[in-house]
Amino acid sequence: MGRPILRRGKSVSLGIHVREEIPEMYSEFADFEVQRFLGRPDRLYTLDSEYEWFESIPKKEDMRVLAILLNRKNSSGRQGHDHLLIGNIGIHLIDRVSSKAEIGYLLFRKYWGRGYGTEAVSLVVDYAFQTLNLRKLTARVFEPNGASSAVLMKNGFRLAGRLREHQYINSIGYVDELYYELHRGS
Amino acid sequence: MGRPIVREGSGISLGILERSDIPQLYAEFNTPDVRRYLTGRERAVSLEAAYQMYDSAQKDTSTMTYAVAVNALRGKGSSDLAGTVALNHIDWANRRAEVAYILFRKYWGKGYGTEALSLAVMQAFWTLNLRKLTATVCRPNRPSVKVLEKNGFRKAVTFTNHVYVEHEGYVDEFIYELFRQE
Ligand SMILES: CC(C)(COP(=O)(O)OP(=O)(O)OC[C@H]1O[C@@H](n2cnc3c(N)ncnc32)[C@H](O)[C@@H]1OP(=O)(O)O)[C@@H](O)C(=O)NCCC(=O)NCCS
Ligand SMILES: CC(C)(COP(=O)(O)OP(=O)(O)OC[C@H]1O[C@@H](n2cnc3c(N)ncnc32)[C@H](O)[C@@H]1OP(=O)(O)O)[C@@H](O)C(=O)NCCC(=O)NCCS
Repeated sequence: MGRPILRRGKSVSLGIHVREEIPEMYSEFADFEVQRFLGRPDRLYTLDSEYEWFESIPKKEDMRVLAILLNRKNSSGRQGHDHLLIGNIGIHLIDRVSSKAEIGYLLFRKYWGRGYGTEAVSLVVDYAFQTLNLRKLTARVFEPNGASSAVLMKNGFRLAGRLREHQYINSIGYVDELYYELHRGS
Repeated sequence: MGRPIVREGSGISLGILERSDIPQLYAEFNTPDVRRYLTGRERAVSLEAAYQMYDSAQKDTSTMTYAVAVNALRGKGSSDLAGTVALNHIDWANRRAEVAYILFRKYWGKGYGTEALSLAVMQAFWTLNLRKLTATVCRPNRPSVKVLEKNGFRKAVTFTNHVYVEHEGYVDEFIYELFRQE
């Protein structure tokens, strides 16, 4: 059975997560390089807590989490589910009254630097504006994470400001947190 | 019995917020004037839910809410509750928090908001040993912007057309920050 695909891009697509891939995600995301610029490095995640997280996704109205999938060449048209997964991307803090939300994303280490992050963000922007009918998106990046800022700017996000020395990062020290925004139709 | 005071100011002081204060807070904070720019203003929350929020906050180490009490005149009876000031999202790993304040309508414009924030700042830096505070405020909330700037907060982020406010449409929202002066 193929998983439902919500957006198809040139190299990557966005789909629904399946339960069987949780252990793979859990070990790929445990990578220090992947965790480095995420918000809560002090927290311990267990495989059980990842399953709980997975179970909670469909129940939460204020967020959407989607799998980032690599499009397979010569595929029979059907999308398989285990080896295609390369990361995930989420729309969080969905604020219905103000019609806005925040996005966050991560790719497995071995898929960085090939434009996949840029395309995944462009697909989630389209999903947020055209499927959720939101008006605005924001994103936060710790300043040393140049790749993440580049991905946002290439998708038209604008820097809205920075909180100085806001987050302590292992072996770097306190770094600035950058805030980006994107208005629909801009 | 008087309310225990954690930090004394000249016009108001910060004290312990009691469970028995909830009905008064619930009534005073549920007016359109007070709620106008507050997060979650669109929600209709029951008194029962307000008690539950109070109870869960007692067990939560990431949030701390203080009573703002008007100092009693010498020889007069007990002090009056005028509102609350809170340190929310306390992030112990990064030693920072977000500050928020609300006063009952009848106490606005007397400098109490400015003093309540200054006391909360001292509480955060010198009692909790935090190194940084932030506050989120929208552009049309002039009194709140004023209160932040009078306490030395600096505008760090401007989100354009960010939040919806009745009769005003989508308005800009700011994040302010303040560092502890070592
Ligand atoms: C952030 C992340 C998703 C980027 O994905 P990616 O697929 O590697 O990004 P892309 O290949 O689409 O684009 C990266 C861009 O950043 C640029 N870049 C890389 N490192 C950079 C740096 N230090 N400074 C500036 N730009 C940089 C690349 O040159 C590329 O731009 P280009 O295509 O114009 O050359 C990925 O690095 C990741 O998952 N990181 C760990 C989790 C994380 O930090 N998530 C974001 C939290 S805000
Ligand atoms: C924000 C709040 C706590 C301010 O408290 P306060 O005790 O009235 O504030 P102060 O008297 O200390 O200071 C208010 C300042 O704003 C100024 N001000 C008031 N209304 C103003 C207006 N419409 N335009 C410009 N300045 C205004 C006052 O003149 C005063 O400045 P000054 O001392 O230089 O004259 C109070 O208005 C409140 O509870 N509002 C509702 C809840 C809320 O919005 N909280 C903040 C969420 S971010």
